[in-house]
Amino acid sequence: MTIFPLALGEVTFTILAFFLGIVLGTQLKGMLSRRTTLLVLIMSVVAAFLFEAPVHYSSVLGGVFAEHISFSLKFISAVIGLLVGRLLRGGEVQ
Amino acid sequence: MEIKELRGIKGVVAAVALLIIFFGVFSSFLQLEGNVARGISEQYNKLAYRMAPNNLASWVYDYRGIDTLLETGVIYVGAVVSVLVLGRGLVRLKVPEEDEVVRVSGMDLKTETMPVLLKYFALPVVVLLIAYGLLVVLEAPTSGGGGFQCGVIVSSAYLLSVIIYGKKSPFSIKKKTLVAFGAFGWGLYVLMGLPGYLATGYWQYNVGADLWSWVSTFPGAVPEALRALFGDPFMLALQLREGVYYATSGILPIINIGEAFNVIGAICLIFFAFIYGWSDSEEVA
Repeated sequence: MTIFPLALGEVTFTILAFFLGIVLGTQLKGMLSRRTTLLVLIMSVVAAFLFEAPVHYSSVLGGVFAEHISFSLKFISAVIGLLVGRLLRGGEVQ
Repeated sequence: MEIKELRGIKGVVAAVALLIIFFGVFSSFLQLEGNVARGISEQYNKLAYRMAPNNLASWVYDYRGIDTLLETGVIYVGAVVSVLVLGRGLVRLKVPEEDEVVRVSGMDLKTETMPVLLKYFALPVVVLLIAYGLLVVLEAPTSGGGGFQCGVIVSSAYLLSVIIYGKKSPFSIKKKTLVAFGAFGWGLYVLMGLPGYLATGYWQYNVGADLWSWVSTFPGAVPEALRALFGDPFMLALQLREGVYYATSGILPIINIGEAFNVIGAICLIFFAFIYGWSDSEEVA
């Protein structure tokens, strides 16, 4: 298991996904209950597992945990960014 | 915006920007003479180890980046013109006073009678759809995807949200924001041509990947600082049978993000015009 990425590209996109998520998240309004927020996060982890880390990613920071277990951290990061962006705009969690 | 608003500093900035783009793009076209070879696949296959895993995307944006830029422009201009035709009030085009503006109330669905499945699961689906759109644009250097696809996916999320929740849509984007998204996206794409032009004379040359520096006849050289600035953040280690090669997609992710925002702005603007019609007072609540 490689902890640090061999190349910066494995991390950059996760950070970009977070900030782009914030940009679009500021356009989300309305109430989102804690239960729904949790549901979204869990679904994002499941989806990230299905999408997998892209080819030529090899570190934990890139989403690769073992040979056949990898997560698309970009997806999870984008979802978190969207939720954070929504909170920044004034959205509430019930 | 009216013509007289362009008389101030905005007009000067717009004129300077247009001049830079005009001279950059057209002088790039002039340099094409003698530098265009038919059947470029062989050359690009030789470059494969220097490219990020999505070889095809690198080809597309290297070989016909300007073409895609113009396509992006066509989409944005097309959307704005469509909105001008479909919903004059929305973009505040001046109409003759005697010409009555038809006022149509915006869509307003009753969420209290909505099926439970839609009421409680639509918003999570919208959030996940937007995230999927972002994933698609950011996966462009490593797999299928790109700005157009991201724009369409996020626009679908916008439409889904409006169809289900009506005026109370939780994913509501104001028309000014949509116009700003489109303009920002197109501007970002155009701006990414400038470093390549300054370094090599070719507009949209991928300074981060710098694929053609190995060709001795290639005019101009990309400074190391510029290559590092646009290339290093997207560097990936390609572990191939022949060995480990470090390759970057260069400016490709940035222009894809620009393209995505352009398409989001354009397509959502058209949806916006269809949904809110001619009324200039109706906006997303």
